[in-house]
Amino acid sequence: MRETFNYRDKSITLYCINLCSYGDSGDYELFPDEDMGILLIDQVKNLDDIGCSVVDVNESVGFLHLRGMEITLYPSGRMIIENVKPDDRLVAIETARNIFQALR
Amino acid sequence: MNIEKIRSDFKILRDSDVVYLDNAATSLTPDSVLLSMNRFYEEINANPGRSVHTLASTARILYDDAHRSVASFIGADKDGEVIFTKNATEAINLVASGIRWRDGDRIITTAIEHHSNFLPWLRLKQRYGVKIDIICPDTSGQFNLSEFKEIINDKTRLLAFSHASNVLGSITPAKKLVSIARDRKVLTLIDGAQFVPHRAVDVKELGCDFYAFSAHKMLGPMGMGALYVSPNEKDNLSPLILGGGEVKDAGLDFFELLPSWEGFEGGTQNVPGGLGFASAIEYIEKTGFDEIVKHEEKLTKLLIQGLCRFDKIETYGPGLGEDRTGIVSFNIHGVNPHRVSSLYNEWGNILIRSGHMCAYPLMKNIIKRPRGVVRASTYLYNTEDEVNRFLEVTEKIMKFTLK
Ligand SMILES: Cc1ncc(COP(=O)(O)O)c(C=O)c1O
Repeated sequence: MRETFNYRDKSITLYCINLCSYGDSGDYELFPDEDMGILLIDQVKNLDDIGCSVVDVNESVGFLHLRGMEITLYPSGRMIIENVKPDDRLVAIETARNIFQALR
Repeated sequence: MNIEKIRSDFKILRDSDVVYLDNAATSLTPDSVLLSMNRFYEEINANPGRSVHTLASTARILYDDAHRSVASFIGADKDGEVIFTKNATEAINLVASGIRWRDGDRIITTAIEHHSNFLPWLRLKQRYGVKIDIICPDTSGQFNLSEFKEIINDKTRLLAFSHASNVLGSITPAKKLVSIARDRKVLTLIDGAQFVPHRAVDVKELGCDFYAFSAHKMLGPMGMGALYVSPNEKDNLSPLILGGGEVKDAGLDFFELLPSWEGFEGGTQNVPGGLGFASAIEYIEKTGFDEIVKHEEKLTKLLIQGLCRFDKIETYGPGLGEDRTGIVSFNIHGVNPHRVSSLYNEWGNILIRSGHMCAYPLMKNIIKRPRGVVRASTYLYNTEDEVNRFLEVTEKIMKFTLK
């Protein structure tokens, strides 16, 4: 499944792949069609503003928590979202879009 | 074994610095296999056995030769004991749907099976009321063989088990299990998907009735697999699908199937895939299992020793020094497997697998890790340097995730 959205005046397509998951929650991998070059360390406050807590971050990865979901975010925009409830790709895509839109 | 020479046969290894440790999912494909498949399309490209012309006859001979190579690779008779399928999954499903099940029949299987050797039996239970008896090993994958003896009764029709676990790397004592089953006139199906790529198999010596495996885990193409059927069971098994190419005769109200593999392979087949399969076997035979086993043992030992240095890492499967394949599954305490495998990918260009590995029963009931594991799996082209790079990245991941 894929969805296109605007990021910094550019159109980006986001791909979403189901990962093997367990029970009533789902795990997903999402990645954009181009490297988004996110400076993760600079984004802590922006993510916090949408209720996404940054558990740990360095220049090459961020571990985030959002509404029970565990998110691994890379500078390219690649994301692993685990524990998505209900187990639905649309929820994973919506979560990723919200995170991207919070980035400044 | 000349690893540098071997590595030069794989374009992905020539062109990138990727560390490919996801061989239990699928292996890389050497140039010779690609060439054999390409050559078919470039030079032959005819439907075997359908037309009387030189290209069709050539295709027929090559496709038959491919069956013979695969058969001889596992010690089967070259004439018709090996049927080509799409993969190991289809081979197992062929057996599940091809046996005429009787009321009250029972099947014994185990809790370490890949879903491909589990769901087909569960479906028989749902559809026909076949009873399933499940044997659980200990957490390292070792079985108590007397449990198999005790559970067999007069209704037991089939014992289905994997030769090597896709999660634990454990090796099942197949010959002993087959002998237990045969003593009680129980059929045996062995899922060899994780064994055939790494160790020599002789189905006659094992004495099994069915043996299933896939080409893509042993340097061959995706979409190709094989099922060995013992001569005793050939006439008792119906094909999975019926159609062109399979019949000796048919009328308005009857059909008679061809003997040999032809009677089981309905419709136009993946002929280039079959040639690629044979070419992969040639590659493995040229390298030799003695060398492959020695090499994988060395890498696996290095991997396990390296991982065991970290007390927050839990590894699964047989311990060091015990017989096992090159599969090493593990977890980093408190970190989700998908997160871990993505970190290997991002930080080291190291490709491994995470999750339940299509083995929910094992994850939930044996090792009790329902979120799954992280799995590194080696093959003949992997090097000690690659394992060391894997261990360096492990250290980096441990430092970051557990600080
Ligand atoms: C033990 C085992 N059996 C069966 C299979 C199914 O193989 P395929 O997907 O090629 O049919 C696998 C694949 O990973 C496996 O590991």
